[in-house]
Amino acid sequence: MSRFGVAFFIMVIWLAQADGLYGQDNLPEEAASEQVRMRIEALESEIRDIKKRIREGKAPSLETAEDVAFIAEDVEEISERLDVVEKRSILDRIQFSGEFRNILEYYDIDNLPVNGEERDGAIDELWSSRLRLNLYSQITQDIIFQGRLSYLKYWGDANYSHEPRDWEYNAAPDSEGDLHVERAYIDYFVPGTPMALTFGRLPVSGGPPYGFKNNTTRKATWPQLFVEGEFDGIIGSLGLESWTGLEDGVFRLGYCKATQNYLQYQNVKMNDLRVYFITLESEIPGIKDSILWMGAYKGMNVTPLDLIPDTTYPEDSGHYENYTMHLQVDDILGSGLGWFGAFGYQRSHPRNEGTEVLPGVEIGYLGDSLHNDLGKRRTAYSIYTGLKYVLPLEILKNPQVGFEYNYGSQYWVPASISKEDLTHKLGVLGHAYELYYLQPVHEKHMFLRIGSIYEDYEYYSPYWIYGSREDAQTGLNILKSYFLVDVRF
Amino acid sequence: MKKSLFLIVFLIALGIFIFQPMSYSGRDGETLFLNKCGNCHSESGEAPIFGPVKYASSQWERFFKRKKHNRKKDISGEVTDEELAIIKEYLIDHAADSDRPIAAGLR
Repeated sequence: MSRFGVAFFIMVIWLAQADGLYGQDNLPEEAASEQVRMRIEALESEIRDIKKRIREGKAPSLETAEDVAFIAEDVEEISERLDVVEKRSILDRIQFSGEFRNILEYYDIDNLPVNGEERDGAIDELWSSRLRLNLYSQITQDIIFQGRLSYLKYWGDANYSHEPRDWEYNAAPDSEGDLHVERAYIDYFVPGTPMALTFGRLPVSGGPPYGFKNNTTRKATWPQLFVEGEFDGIIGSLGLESWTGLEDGVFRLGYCKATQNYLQYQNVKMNDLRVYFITLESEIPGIKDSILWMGAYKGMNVTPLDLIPDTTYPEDSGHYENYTMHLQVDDILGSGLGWFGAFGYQRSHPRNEGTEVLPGVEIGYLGDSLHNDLGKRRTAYSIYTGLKYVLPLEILKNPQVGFEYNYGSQYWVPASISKEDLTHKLGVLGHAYELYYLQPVHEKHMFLRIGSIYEDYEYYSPYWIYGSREDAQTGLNILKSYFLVDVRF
Repeated sequence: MKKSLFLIVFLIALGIFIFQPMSYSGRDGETLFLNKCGNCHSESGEAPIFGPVKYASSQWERFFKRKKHNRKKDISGEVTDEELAIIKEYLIDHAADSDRPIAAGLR
């Protein structure tokens, strides 16, 4: 065999092998190609079908479908996050809100009776801070809890001297300030009825017209002139709106315990001071944002003076009745002018015996043995009125100016002592005038107020309800000027 | 003295009674809300009842800014822009985070 022949033979074998190598895959490749072709045809058919459905409006576009998938994914994620927030919201049963106030005051005092003399004096630059924490919880649809923790502090280490007639001494600061429960009560709205039951430390501070001077709404049940303090009791309320059409109409009956003798077991004889009251209020018919308020209350067993140890005193000092009325319109004729007026009439029925502070000297309710007027019945009245005008100056956020006047007669016994006034403007037996300017800084959260109060006393009774007022005439007058910043959050 | 005080209070109250109703107009947000929104949002209406406390004030702001009501129903034919502005002001003023009055037995 020639070399050519050998080479040809090898080439044939190689080619034969090569053909064999490649020739074995030809059939599967064709089959795969056929499969791909069929798949493409199927997809084309699907696309044609989808396009047809889209044209017929029966299916979303591919892009929209993709978006929907993304949205579904987002919704699922958001839902998971919302579950966490919702759980936290359910567990956060109490909502907190706060109020913080800083006050700078100046006092100029003329003819203050001290140890039988009349002295002049002044208090320069008296600073104080007040913090309130308001609590709210809607326990169920018909059960609501509300509370307020309050803290008032005169700056520095100054000791605040409580006057015996200061019913709000709990609200006034001790040497280092005092955080205490100003209100804590439950409102239970009887399901399916217009009735409600309120019990606990009642909302008794910041009643009408509190909102005028404080750029807010009423924050208590009683108008400020009649009751302002801290009282524990029970109130039954009957909503009148559905029966009578009187907007915000409410009739109330209540019972308070102002003092309790919890030393009876030690044979301490002193009757508890109980207060019964009845009130009726509603909007003034036809006038939006107004209040018509009428009420009467009777205090039984006025607590005797018992500040002095080892003295004899009666089991109680008598009783009294108050008849009260308050009218208020927040915005007369849409003019920005608001007005309020309150009138209280009081009858006191003192016992003809008092606490024996010295041998033969008794001090009782509105009388004493020195003036021989123990047990003498007294009548008194008080009025409180004022105006507020919202200036139409939007560029200045509608500042407000206001004027207030109140008067208490000789035998008026105030159960209202404004927290913000060291000298208790609403407790003055005589005339008090106030002029103020209120500048909103933020509509809801912050305002400034600057003002002056002039108190012109006709009578001065440092021992509140105790002792005779027959010789209580005085030339005392106090001019107070203040600047305050109030922030709510 | 007592008689004159009573007389002053009575006269002022009487004056308010006489003159105040004259100030009523369609600008009353609550009335507008009840009349316009209450058409559908009522027990017998096509939409659920709601009040201003449904949202906080910032949520009401967003609701109106984004015209969310139009997503469910276009009310432009039933409520004018001016009326809508008054209703918006009412809802924001009485929103869940608004400054509400407090008294015993008052919701």
